[in-house]
Amino acid sequence: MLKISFFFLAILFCSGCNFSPLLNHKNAEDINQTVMQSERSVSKCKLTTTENKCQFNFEKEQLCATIEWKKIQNGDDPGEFYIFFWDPKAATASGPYLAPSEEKKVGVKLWMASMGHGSSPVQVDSCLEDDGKPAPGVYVAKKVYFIMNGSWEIWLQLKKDKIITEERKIDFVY
Amino acid sequence: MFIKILFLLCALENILYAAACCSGSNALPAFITTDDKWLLGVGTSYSKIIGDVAESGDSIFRRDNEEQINLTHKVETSYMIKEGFQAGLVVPVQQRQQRNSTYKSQISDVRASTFYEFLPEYTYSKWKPRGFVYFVVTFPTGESVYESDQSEGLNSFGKGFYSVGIGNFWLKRWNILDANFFYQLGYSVPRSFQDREGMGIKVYPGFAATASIGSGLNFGNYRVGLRVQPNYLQRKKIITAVGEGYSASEVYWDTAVDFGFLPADYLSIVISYTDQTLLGPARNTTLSRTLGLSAQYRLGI
Repeated sequence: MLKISFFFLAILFCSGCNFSPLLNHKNAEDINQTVMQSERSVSKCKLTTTENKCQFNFEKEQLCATIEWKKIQNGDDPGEFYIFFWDPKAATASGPYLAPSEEKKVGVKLWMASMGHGSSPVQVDSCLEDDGKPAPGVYVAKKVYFIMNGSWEIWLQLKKDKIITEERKIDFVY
Repeated sequence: MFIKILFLLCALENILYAAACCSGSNALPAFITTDDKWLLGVGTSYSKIIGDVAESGDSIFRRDNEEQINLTHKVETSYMIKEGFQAGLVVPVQQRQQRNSTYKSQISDVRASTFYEFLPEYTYSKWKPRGFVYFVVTFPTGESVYESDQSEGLNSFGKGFYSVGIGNFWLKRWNILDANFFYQLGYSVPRSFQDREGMGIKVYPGFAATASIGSGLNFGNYRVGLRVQPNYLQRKKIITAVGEGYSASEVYWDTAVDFGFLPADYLSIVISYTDQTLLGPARNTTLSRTLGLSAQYRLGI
């Protein structure tokens, strides 16, 4: 009996070691370096990229949206990104930007589909120009925290009276 | 001597494990393996989440300032209602901290259990083990990740579901050596949540399974042991206002080294180290290392 238990323990260890996370892992330090390189010095309320990419296609609202990271979550600092909305028939990702219809609010939800849970609420504010006025169709998502490394979904939501009228997502690896 | 070994074994089996994402525990509840009437225990564990494993099985170890610390304190008791039949309760309180933030503390999931010894050992046998069957119920007294509204999910202290588990524990001793084995099948009841923004979500967590095999060497009042425990959680079905989806299943392995000693006949103290990074495969989970200290006091024969 004793030999059998040790035999089973030995087999478990041998097979388990083969897949050991300790022996087969990457460090976030190294991986996030490439992500951090995407961090740009973004001009206030302006998209820096010239790429006309409709990341979020809101068909009902007939708007396109794209996000640009102001800063990726790093250490004690939460992430922040800008959100730009435009009418694909009349504008491009470079502008002019257009806010969703008046009574609609913009929300952001972080979701980790593989774990089946989200993260803490993301705060979405209008992007304020230098004169303090909100820039139409441009928002800032603040307090962007991912509670663990892995594949996340960033959902952009349009809400009316706290009810989601339309939402779209992009994938993001943290 | 035999009673001492049993008492040490009894204490070893309920060290707090650091569970995968979002707190909770798959540890075996406290139970009595001696002739005692009552068992009272306290324990504390220091756990550090150091990495995450993706659905694909790729492990990523966190940066130092992203590691999360969980401190869990527990009070537990088990009472022998009649010969072979006992009931127990575990009440944990958890403290969590990340990135030099202040600790958040809250009660975690409370667990109640009953054990029945269906295969007792009245006379020594070289081959016949002792066998227990048990039933455990977990109450979602700790706030779950679905209700968390703080950054980093720091105020999620429990799994968030009522769950039941049924298991089988086997124990055998040969002179200075002992071996133990248990397995447990669990089911968590679906539950609806509402987040801070009032959005509804219904989660169907489904089934979970765990098994543990361990062995130890006993020297007088001291015992050194080694345990391996794989854990599996079925994929969750999730229904939100805009549709339904499924999470991935979750797999992780606990590897533990225990050191126990008896300062007095009625008291056992156990120090344990549990590591989730040593063995695999792991999938869709967090990885942690846990240092635990527990003491058990036995009363009445």
